[in-house]
Amino acid sequence: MKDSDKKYYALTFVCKDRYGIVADVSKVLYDNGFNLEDSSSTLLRGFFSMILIVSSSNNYSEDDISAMFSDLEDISISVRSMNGSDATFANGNSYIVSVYGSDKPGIVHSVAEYLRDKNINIIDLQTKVAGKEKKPIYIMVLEILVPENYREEEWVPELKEISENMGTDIHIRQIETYEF
Amino acid sequence: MAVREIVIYPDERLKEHCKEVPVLSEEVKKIVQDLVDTMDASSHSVGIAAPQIGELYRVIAIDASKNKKCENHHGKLVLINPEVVKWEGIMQFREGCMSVPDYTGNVNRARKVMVQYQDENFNDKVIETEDFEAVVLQHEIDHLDGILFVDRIISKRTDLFRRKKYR
Repeated sequence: MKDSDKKYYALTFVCKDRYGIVADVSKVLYDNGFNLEDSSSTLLRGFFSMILIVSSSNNYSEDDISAMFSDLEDISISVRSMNGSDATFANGNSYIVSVYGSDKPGIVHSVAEYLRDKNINIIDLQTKVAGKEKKPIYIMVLEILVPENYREEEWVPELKEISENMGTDIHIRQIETYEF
Repeated sequence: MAVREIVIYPDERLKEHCKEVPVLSEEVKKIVQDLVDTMDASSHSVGIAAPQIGELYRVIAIDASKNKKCENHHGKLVLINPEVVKWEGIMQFREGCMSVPDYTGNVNRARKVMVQYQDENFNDKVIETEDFEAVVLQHEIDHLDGILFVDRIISKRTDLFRRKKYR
């Protein structure tokens, strides 16, 4: 199959956690001739959540694909067809940013808005509420791609100031990847 | 002098246990030369192991000086029959591999290692090194036992959250 003949679809599944969710979903994909191109799945607060990019040589409608999963009644699904693989190779320097502190509204939003204004791309984001019920701690870990021409002085101090104004702690470290 | 082609996974030679080098034969000298030539030919290669050029012997070459951010290193080294004899500390590193193109992952490595080996003249040597160069050494020595960094990945994502049971 040539790459240009492939059709790509983005599928998401959310299901109250139980045994066999991955087995059930992947069986339908396998039986219908889909390839799993890229995926990320994790357990979020008792709900198993899957995001899959799949490909097929057939041109399905979004409804066709949803219907293939109609037997899996406890799983919510959404389907979106994509143009090409929409695969882009991002450039920039990777940083891991951890922001954490007592839980309050707007932590993710404040950080994300600053990053958007700076054209810094978020490529991975995880948040959790941890700690005791009466004293919850909010933890956010981001991986971002900073354009190569940015010096750290141009964004690190401002991001730290945003965190300070929210009363949260922040840690920023560069992730270097080496090919051996 | 020969720059060799890099063996790419799923070539099964990358999953083999490599043989000890008993003596510095002409064959081994040639492998050493080819390893160094192949590493030098790639602008970003800071280390290479013999199975990556298809030779199943315990030989690696490293050159941490090619990483401009690496300040403490021993320059270009050939290590025959290398063995980690002591290690301490743990650090996380995001690694990729010439033999597993277009994929990277987070791997835990010892922060500091002591490695016993024979150099290119078959003299017994020991080096102690840390951080970047220690990671390169561990990655390359793993190749001699058929271990790829993919075997050691902790998490593709940032591995920070302790998994919590909600049920």
